[in-house]
Amino acid sequence: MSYRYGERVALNGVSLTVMPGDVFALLGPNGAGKSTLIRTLCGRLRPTSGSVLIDGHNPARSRVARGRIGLVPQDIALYPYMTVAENLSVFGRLAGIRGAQLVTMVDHAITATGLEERVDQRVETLSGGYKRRANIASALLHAPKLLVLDEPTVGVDLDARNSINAVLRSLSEGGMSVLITTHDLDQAASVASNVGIIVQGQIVETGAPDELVAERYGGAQEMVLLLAELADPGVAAILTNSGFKSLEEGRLWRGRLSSDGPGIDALTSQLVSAGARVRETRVRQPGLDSLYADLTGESEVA
Amino acid sequence: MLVISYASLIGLLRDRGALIMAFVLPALIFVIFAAVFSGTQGDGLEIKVVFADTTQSEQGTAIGTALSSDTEVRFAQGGAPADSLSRATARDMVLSGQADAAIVVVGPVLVPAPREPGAVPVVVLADDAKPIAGALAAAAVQRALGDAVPGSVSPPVVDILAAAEGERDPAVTYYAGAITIMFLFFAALQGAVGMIEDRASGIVDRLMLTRGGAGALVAGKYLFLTGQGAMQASVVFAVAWLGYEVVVWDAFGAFAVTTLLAATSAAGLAMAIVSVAATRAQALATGNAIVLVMSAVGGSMVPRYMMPEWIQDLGAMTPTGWVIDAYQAVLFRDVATPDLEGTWMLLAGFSFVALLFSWIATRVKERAA
Repeated sequence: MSYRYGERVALNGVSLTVMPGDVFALLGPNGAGKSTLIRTLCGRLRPTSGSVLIDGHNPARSRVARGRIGLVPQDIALYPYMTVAENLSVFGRLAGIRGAQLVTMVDHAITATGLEERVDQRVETLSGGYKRRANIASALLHAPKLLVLDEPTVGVDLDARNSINAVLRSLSEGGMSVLITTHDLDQAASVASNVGIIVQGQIVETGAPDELVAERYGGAQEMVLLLAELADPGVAAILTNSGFKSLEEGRLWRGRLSSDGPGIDALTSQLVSAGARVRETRVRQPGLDSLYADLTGESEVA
Repeated sequence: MLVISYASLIGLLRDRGALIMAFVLPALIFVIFAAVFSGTQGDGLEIKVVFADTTQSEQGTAIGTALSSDTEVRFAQGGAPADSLSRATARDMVLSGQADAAIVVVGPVLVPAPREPGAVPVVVLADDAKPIAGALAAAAVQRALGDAVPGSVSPPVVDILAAAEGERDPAVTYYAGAITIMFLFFAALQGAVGMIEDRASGIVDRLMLTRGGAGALVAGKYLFLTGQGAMQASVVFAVAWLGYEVVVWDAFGAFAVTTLLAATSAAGLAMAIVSVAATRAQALATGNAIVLVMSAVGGSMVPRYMMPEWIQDLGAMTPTGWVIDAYQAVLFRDVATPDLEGTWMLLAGFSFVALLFSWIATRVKERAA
């Protein structure tokens, strides 16, 4: 599927499938096309070419398809002056649910997101984590087949993030398809059954996070070097020649140590004799963040 | 759809600022304006008069000719000296608002002195709602007599009579309508800007996935704002009725229709402004400016007849002007419903076009955003 804003290509031949029970994490820098992809999924934009099918229906044309999507926007898309229960009731009715079914679905959404203790509290008085949960709960009322979350962990603390992850896991275990865009590589690594890395409107890599990492790096180890000051040209040349890339303006470097190249000690002493002051060295297994940095040229998801 | 209205109602009830703006301020400002303007005097105004010469005499014709060259009066359409109207027709033109005052020649100007008490040769029939106009017309008559019939100005030669009968306070009746429509516009704008926050927070994104989509969003908000406006108007007129004996019951049906159309017009304009504004601040700044100008020109602050002619013409093209005219017609001039239909159609048309515009703009914005 492709989408153009006039001359600018926002999505270029994107293809992805989210199966029931999958948690698909979409990772990519700002402007990579994540928001455009979500808008096309929700039927707000019609693809310039290709198509989107939700449970067999096209969301740009079919209300049925749109009704199978639960959208959790990035901001808290709730009425702040209403309580959690009032909000759920309003959004449930807007989704076309009435009467006894509404009561059941509201209860279900409250239980699924662990909001039992906060139902009668106004949304504006909730903590960030509970607001996020209520934001998710409001998208569950019509029992969507696909839950789309746009950056659900922006600005939340670790506990809240973990609890959101737990909510997403339990929803996917119940058979719901979940698609999230996230800045949070740890979150993606922890909840996603599949990830897609999108760069300049194209999905450059997709698959299960562990498999993708294993495929790319095999058993290789990764070394992270932190210098006390910016690398001068001599130091930078040594690092670049050894296959290292600079992050954070030349103080932080990351590279792989191949089994047949110079070891850590050899590289460090080379750097020291070139005048570098090495503050920290770390050796670790490459992870999703390494893959992301290699594919996008960025150290963190932006 | 109704549920959006419900959500908006909770928002209003829980926002004290908006509540005060919606219900306390209008009544307060109405009382202030009514007090301030009921005794206003005007200078340098050009008034619209209708001339009738019941004597069909040379002197009468001469007075008419002299009035024609007076720069402080102009003749209402059909009310020029050449049209030789009857006193009753001239009076009707004043009562219906077509003219500010009628100048009627009723007897010979030059009579053997002393003149009998009450037998003045010229009467001015003034609109109660425009007290200054009567005085200005009488002054114009004095000038005309000086020109047309030299030696005639031995008082009394002109008498100012009220065109209408009854004891309604014209200024209070006028400002009940004028203040109501101004605050209806302000409050509707305040209520409608919530849509911009809904857009920013993603509530609109969420709604676009639901059955109703943009239609439910716009219709729900429109319905709420119309209800709010009708309530506000009722509060102002209740104060006017209890405190100033403004009679709303005599023509309650026409009053209700006017109130409803005033509310739909305010809701429509506010929604139209908000549907194209990018931010809350933008919507408020633009909206406030539009409403203030429209209120000033349309006659919410000063009656239109006291303004220069070109502003009067401009004011007659604003919803503010239409609503004020309709309320005046219903509450003060006892105009029959068929004569109001034109004004009502204008208001209904404006409301409909504004609603349609908001709906289209919202759809376009949500698709393109």
